[in-house]
Amino acid sequence: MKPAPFAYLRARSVAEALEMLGASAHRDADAHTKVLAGGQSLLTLMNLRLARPDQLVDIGGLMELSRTFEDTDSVVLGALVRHRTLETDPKLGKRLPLVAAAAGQIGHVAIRNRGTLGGSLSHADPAAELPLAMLVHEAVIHVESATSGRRTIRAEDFVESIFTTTMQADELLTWVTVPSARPGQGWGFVEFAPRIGDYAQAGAACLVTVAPDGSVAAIRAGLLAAADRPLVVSEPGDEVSGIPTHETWERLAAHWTRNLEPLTDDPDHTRHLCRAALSQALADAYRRARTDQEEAA
Amino acid sequence: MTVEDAFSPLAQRVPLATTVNGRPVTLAVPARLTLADLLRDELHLTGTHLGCEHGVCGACTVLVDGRSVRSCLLFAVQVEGRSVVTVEGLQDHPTTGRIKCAMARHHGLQCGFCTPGMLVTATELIDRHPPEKPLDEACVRETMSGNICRCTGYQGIVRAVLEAAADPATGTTHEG
Amino acid sequence: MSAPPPRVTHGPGEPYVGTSVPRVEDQRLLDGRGRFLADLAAGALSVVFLRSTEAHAVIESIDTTRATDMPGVVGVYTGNDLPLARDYIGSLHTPDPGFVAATGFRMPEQRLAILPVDRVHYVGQPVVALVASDRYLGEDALEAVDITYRPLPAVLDPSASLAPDAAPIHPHLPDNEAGRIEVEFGDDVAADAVAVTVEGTYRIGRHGAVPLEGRGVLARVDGQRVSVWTSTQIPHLVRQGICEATGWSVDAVRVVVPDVGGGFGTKANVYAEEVVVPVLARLTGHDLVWVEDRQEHLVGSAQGRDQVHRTRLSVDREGRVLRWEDDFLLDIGAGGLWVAGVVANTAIHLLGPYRIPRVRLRGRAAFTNKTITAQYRGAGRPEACFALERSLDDAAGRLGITPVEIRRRNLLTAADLPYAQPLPYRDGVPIVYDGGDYLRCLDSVLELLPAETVERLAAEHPDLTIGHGVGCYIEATGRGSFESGRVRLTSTGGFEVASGAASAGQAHETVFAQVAADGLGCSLELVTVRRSDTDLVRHGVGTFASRSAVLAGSAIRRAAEQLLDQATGRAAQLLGVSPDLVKSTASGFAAADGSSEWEISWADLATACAPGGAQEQLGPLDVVEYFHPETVTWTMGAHAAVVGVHRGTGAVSVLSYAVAHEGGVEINPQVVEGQVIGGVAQGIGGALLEQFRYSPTGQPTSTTLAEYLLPGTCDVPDVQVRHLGVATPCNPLGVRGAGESGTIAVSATVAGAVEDALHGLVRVSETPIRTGPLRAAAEQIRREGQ
Repeated sequence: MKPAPFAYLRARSVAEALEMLGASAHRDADAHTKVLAGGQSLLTLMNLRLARPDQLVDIGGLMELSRTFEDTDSVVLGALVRHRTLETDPKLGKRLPLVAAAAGQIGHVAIRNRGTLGGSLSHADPAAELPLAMLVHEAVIHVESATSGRRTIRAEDFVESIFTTTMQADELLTWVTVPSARPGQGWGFVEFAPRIGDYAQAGAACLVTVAPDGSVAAIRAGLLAAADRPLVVSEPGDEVSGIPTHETWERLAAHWTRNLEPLTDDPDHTRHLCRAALSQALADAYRRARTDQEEAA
Repeated sequence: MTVEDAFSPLAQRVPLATTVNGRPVTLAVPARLTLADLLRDELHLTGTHLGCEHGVCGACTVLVDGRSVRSCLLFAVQVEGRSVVTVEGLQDHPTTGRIKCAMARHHGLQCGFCTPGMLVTATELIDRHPPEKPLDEACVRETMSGNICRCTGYQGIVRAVLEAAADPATGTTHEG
Repeated sequence: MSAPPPRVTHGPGEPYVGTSVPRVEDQRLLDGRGRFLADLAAGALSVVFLRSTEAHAVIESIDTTRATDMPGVVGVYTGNDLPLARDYIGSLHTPDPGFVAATGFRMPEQRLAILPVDRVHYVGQPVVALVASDRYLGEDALEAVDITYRPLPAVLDPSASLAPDAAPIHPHLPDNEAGRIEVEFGDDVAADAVAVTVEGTYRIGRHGAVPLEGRGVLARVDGQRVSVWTSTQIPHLVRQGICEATGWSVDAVRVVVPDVGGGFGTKANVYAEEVVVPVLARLTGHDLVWVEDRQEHLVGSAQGRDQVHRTRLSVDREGRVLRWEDDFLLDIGAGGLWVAGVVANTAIHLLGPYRIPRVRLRGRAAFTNKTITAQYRGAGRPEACFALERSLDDAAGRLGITPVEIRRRNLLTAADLPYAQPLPYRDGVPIVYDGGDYLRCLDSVLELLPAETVERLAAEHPDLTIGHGVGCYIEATGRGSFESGRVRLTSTGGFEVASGAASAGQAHETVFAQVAADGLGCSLELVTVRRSDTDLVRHGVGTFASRSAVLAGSAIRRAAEQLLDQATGRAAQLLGVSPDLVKSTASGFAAADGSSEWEISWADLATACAPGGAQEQLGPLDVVEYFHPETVTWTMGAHAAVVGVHRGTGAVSVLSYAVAHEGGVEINPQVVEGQVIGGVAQGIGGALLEQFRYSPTGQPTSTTLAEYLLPGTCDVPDVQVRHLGVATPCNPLGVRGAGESGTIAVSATVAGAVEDALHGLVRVSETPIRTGPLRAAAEQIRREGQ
């Protein structure tokens, strides 16, 4: 279980990383270049020789991409921000509690100490936590290339299918802008896995916005491991009238999972798991929103 | 190094300057050499064990800049300029010493293959845990869940970590 | 006869046996200074194996030309390149003729090729060995070996494999039957006596030992000898396997066991790699090492379980068992050198710890195109236990009594024991359960974990529906034929102990030292236990089947006593007094005749035995003893579990667990308890998580630890253990085996608890337990509860 040989390039700046990616894309379209960030998914695949890039561009030393910036309504996260930072940084946790919860569900501590936001998003594993969290948050992903410059991609448009994004070969994911939690908004993140740290069999994330009278103003909810990419399942037309109860969430969850076609051995069971995760995530989100309101009042 | 120089993967040896257990290490390594193999095969620090080489079992856990990582999921070249500490480097670390004593008392090891990884994970857990909040069993179990032990059923390990965390004052230094 | 209660600390003059002295092994293992196989690799070239990618195929061609030219490659070898006297490894166990006669046991000779050149039988089978300067280059070169296979239909179902028209997987055999057994006794049961008859089909999934350290072999050639370090539980059987395959003399092969990172049965096997690496070391003249990686392990190391039982159990109105019938199938994959042991174990342990007057059992083992099998912790006992205990739960449900009650009415009690079964054991000796009171174990486990625990845990876990289950097991331990023990006085007055029973984490360095120190009457600090080495003890068998404490312990005890006896005579001679005046002390000997006192230390005695010493002509004090037990000794136990089934997902959590077992004298109670708790953890893995899965074409799909799920910290609860010691007269220590006790009843116990949690809406009849049906039942309960 040793990786196949590859050429190694260590980038000293974002510009140099973009040069390296551009040069290799330019030189040999068939040569397969991968960006090495935390490496927690890539090295697993390389040790199994399931991934065998010809060349790695190591961006692990680009400290600038480890930074975070807090704006009024959003937080800007560098591509190299570690899962463990998202999970445990108190300031980030206050602004992005859903992201913190999602990051805390990834693998184990030693994986979270190394794994990065940009790496997770670029890997585009449909069972991964952070792509779903970014999708539910309506995050905006910034990518750059040496030739075509900078552009942004909405999280909804970022994943093409399993392990495939809409980034070009010479593009590097640099920053992610995540709208931060708003007053009256509660979050829910529920994941089912055979053991702690395993790939999720099903998982749901949601943001529920609650009016001061306890009625539901807006819901955005999504699922992981339910398709070839993270899915938004909330349908804005489905209003929740009055004060929601346990049954409200069960009904919504059942409704929003009715058409799922999960790519698993037992789709029916997976659909049930998705429904259970979603129902619980919605209930958690509403409860948290109400608790915050009560504390603020 | 230019792109062209680098394009002979088998021949390429990357210069590496890092610190392992407090000592500077300078050598040239194949780019694909994992950190685990650097430690074990080049530096002969065989206390770091390989149980799966795909990041699941935790036997190869070491500290890089004070944080636990899987040494099978890092290339050696990725620790350029960083500080690596293995179980051998924790020989005089008081927290690890307390955990070791407690592990022996609570029968927290049988074959001992997972033990170095357990010690590294538990050391980070205790050292980084906020002192005002005592560690509880659920937190220990969750944090240690990335380290597989096939022998003990974990009972002794969990007890040992809780005991080592609870009472640093009475812990005695492990006599090595 | 009750064993004395365990002591935690060791007082002056007290025996060490029975005391939880700290483990000698811990210091080096905690410091990262263990020496496991891979830690010895420095300086050796790397052997890598190309393994079959086909479940069943004819090898049309193997072309190693490209691979030979790859960087770092020293040589590439097929089966045709190995100078072997015999190209397969022989069976590791043959039952006694008396047992064969009583049970109709039959098995064919297996000849799975060490490196096949014409046909492959499972994905993962080693086909080509390649020597390279390091493992990285070796793996690169493996990709350049060109093999052409002509696929054959893969047989994956044991029933299909045994069908009359099935083509034999192994061309030298007429069919795919790998073993068979039949056991029948007791009179027919009157129909009107039967109140309830339950029938069932119980499947125990394919799972296995999966120790955290894989296997590995290091070979060094030194003149005419080859030294082989291997991560094994059975060094002497490995030596035998190497010699039989190569034709080398036993004197030309030394097998040494380094620190071993867990075995649990899969390393109590002899493997092709253990033959190939020393052969290549001799061919190439290089020191060679092969370190199995995890992917190789999950397809190439022996697996276990994989049984189907079709059962019929009849009970009377009171729930007393009248008749028990089971027709079982074992899928041993492409081969299993322990097939006789596992088939016989299954049949024998189907008798359970109960009074069962009428028994009819039939078992068959089938070859399929799955990975080879060996013994895995329990080796037939957990499978038998699952079938019998599940049937008892079923019958109890039909009768309207509790699972506890039906066991209470059938368990053997002090009044029944010792209890003879009308059947010989595998060693040909009639089975007699030498226990004290099996019912006491059930009572005791219910004290530890009463059914009422369910209410408390239900309140703590509103998202779970909670249930309680029990299971009982019997375990034959300490099987012969023998084990060796050697004790010798070193030149500095210490003692070295060695045995054929290799340690894989069972603390032999500690417990054998305790046994030896007691036999010698000396201080524990004087005793060092050496790791197993065929040069230290010329004969031995190994560690498996809960036998080491019983057999090696007894051999060491006797060797120590003999050495003390010889030494006492020599001390008397040196002191010039009569031997009956000489008493042993912690540090040596003392003698007194009323007016004078003399002392002589073990170091003085060692000096006297050494060249130039007063007793040089008597030679060293060095005793080798072989202990042959008359037959096995029986351990019994009862397990109880409280589990929760998640209302939304059907996932099962084991919340609380208890074991009460009737073992013998405990050499080191903490070590015994550790064996039991660790055994429970493996049992939980088999019940809920672990399975080697295969695609319909025989491709293994559990090839990483992300697919083969080992239990982690959050999957195993604390386990309460109560030891109800009953010393056995079968051996000088009074010990019974305990290494497998923790595992045997777990699947049955957890299954019972799951059914209880789901109000009997599901029948759990297979492991690992599938969560889909549980979720449906949990939903039904919730709906009906609303």
